[in-house]
Amino acid sequence: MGPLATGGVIGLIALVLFMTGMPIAFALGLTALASIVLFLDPAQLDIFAKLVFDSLNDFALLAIPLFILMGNIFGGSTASKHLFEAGEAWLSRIRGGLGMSSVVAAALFAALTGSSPATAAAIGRVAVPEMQSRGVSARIATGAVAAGGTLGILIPPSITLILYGIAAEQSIGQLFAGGVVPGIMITVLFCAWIFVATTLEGRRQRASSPQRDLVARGAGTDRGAGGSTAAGAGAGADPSAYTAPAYTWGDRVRSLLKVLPFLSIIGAILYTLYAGVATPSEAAAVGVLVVLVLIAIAYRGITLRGLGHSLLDATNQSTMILMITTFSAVIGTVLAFLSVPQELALMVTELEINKWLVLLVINLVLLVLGMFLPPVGIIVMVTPVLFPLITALGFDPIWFGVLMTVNMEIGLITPPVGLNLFVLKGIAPDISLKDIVLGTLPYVGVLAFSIFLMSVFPGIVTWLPGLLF
Amino acid sequence: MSALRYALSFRWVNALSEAAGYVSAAALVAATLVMLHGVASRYFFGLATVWQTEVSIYLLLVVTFWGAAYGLKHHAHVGVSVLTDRLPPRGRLAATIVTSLLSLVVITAVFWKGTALWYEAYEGGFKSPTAFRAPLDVVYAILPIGMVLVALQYVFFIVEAGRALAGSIPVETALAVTEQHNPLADEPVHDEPDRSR
Repeated sequence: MGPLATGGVIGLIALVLFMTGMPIAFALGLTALASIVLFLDPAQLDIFAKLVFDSLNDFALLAIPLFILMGNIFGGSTASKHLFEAGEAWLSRIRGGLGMSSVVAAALFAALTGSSPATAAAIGRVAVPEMQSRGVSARIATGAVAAGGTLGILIPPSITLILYGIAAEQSIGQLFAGGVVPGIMITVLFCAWIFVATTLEGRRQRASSPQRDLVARGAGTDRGAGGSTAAGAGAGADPSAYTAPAYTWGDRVRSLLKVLPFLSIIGAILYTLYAGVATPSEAAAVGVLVVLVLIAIAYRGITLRGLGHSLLDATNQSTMILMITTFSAVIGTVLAFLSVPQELALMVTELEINKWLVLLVINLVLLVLGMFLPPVGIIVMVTPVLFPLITALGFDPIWFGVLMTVNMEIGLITPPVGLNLFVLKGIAPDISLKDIVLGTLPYVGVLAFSIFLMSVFPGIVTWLPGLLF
Repeated sequence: MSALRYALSFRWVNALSEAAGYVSAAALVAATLVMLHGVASRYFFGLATVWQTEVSIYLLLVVTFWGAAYGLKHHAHVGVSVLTDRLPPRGRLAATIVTSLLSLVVITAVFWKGTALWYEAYEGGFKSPTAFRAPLDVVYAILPIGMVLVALQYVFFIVEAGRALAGSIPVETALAVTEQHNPLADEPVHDEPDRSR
C-alpha cells in the first residue's frame, strides 16, 4: 500500500472513531495505536508512551494553560460590562451602534479570554437584554454577539495560532502580529454588516406595517419631524430610532480608561515577543500576573473563591486542549514516519493544478471539519498533514495559519455544533434558535469574504509581521 | 450499604479525580510562579533559566495528565456527538459504555508502555541531559499515574452506566454523570447562582 492509501485508511479510522462520540483526544490516541500496529512494526508499540510524553515535552505548550488562566481571570471579572459600556459610549450615535458596540466588545473580550463561547456568554448576558430593551431585533442582537466572539481565536493572544505555530514550527510572535490587521478588518466588516442589516430591517418593517407606522407617526409627530434620519418611524419599529442616552466626552474618556489597561495587554504581549524580551509562554505567565493586578486595582473585584474557580476552570479547559494536542502530535509523528504528508505534497504539486484551486479545496475541507470539530482539534490534526503541501505550493506559512484560523471562526457559528449559537440560546431562552441562526448566518458570508480578501491581498496578513520581525 | 458495595460502586473515584484536579490547579499556579521567577531572574540579573524551563514543563505534564481525570469528571473531553445525540437515553448509555472501553484501550496502552519507560529510568537512575539533572524516574512517573486516574474515572462511568441499564439507578442520573459536553459551552464548572434567571 502506498503512503497515500495508508493515510486514507488512517483518516477513515479516525473518522469512524470520532462518530462513536468518544472524546477526540482518545479517538486520536486509538487511531495512532491502530496505525502503529497495522502499518508500522508492532514492536514500535514500545515507543508509544515515549511519543505521548515527548509530544507534551515542549516549553511552548505552556503558553496554552497560562493564556487560558489569564483569560479566565479576566473573564471572571466585570470586564464584559465595562467593555460593552465603553463601546456604547463611543458608537451609540451611529445607526446600529448598539450592535456594533457588542461586536467590538465581544472581539476584545474574546481576544483576552481566548474563548469564543465564553465571550458569547459573558458579553451576551450584558448586551442582548440591553439591545432587546432598546428595540434592536433579536436577530441583529444575537448575531452581533455570536459573530464578535469568534474573533477571539484570531486576535492575539490566540490559542489556535499558538498551536499552529507549534505544529508548523513557525514563529508565534509573527503569527500573533499576522492576526492583528485581519482582526481589525473583520471587526470593521462585521460593523458594516450591522449598519446594512439595521437599515434593511428598518425599511422592511416600515413597508410591512404601514398601519402601525401611521399610528406611531401620529403619536410622535414632533419626533418624526425633528429627526430626518429616523424617518418618522415609531420607536418600537425602527431599531435605528431609539433615543441613545446622551454621552458627554467626559463619559467617553472615563469609559475608555476603564478598559484601556486591558487592551494594552494585547499590545504589551506583542511587544515582548517583538523585542525578544520573553517567549510566548513567559509572556503568558507575565500576562496572568498583570491581569490579576489590573483587575484588583481597576475593578476591585477579586475574591479568593473567584480565583479558585478561574483556576479550576483553566485546568479543565487546558487538559482537554492539551490531551487532544498530545495524541494529535503522536499521529503526526506516525504519519511522518509513513511519509504521508510528504507524498501528499508531492502528488498534488505534480498534478500541477492551479494552487488557488487547491487552496479552495483545502478551505472547503476545513469548513466541513469546522462544522463538527473544535478549532483546536482541527488545527493540530490538519497542520502536520497539510504543511508540506502549503509550502510546496509557495504559500506563506504565516499567511496560511491566519487564513486557516479565519476559516475556523466560521465553524464556531455554523450548525450543528456551532457552540456560540447554543450558548446564546442558553442565555436568551426567549429568542428562538432559528432567529439566532438566521441572525448569525450573514457573518459566515462576511468571514468567507474576508478569506477572499486575504487571498487577493496577502499583505493584509503579512504586512505587520514583515514590519515587526 | 457495606464498605464492599461502596468500593464496587466506584463512587469514591469522584473524590480522587476531584483531588487530582486540585493538584493540577496547584501545579498550574506553581508553573506560573516558576516562570515569573525565570523571567525576572533573566531580565533583572541576566541569569540563565535552565531549571525554571525544565520544572515548568514537568508541571505542565501534571496539569495535563492528572488534570485529565478531573476534566473527564467535569465533562471537558469533547467528542463529536451528532450521531449519539439521536439515540434514545438507554442507547446513549450503551454508547457511553462502548466509548469508555475504547478509551480504556488507549489509556491502558499508554499506562503499560509508560510504566516500562519509568521502570527503565528507575533501574538506570537516569537524569535529564541538562545542567539541572532532574531524576527522570520521578518525571516519567507522572504519565502512568495520570493514566490510572483517568482509567478509574472511566471504570466509574462504565459501572454507573451499567447500573442504570440494569435499572438500579435512574437513566438520567447516569447520563448526567457520564456524557462529555463542551465545557466552554456549559456554564462554569462550579454551581454559581445564575443571575439571568
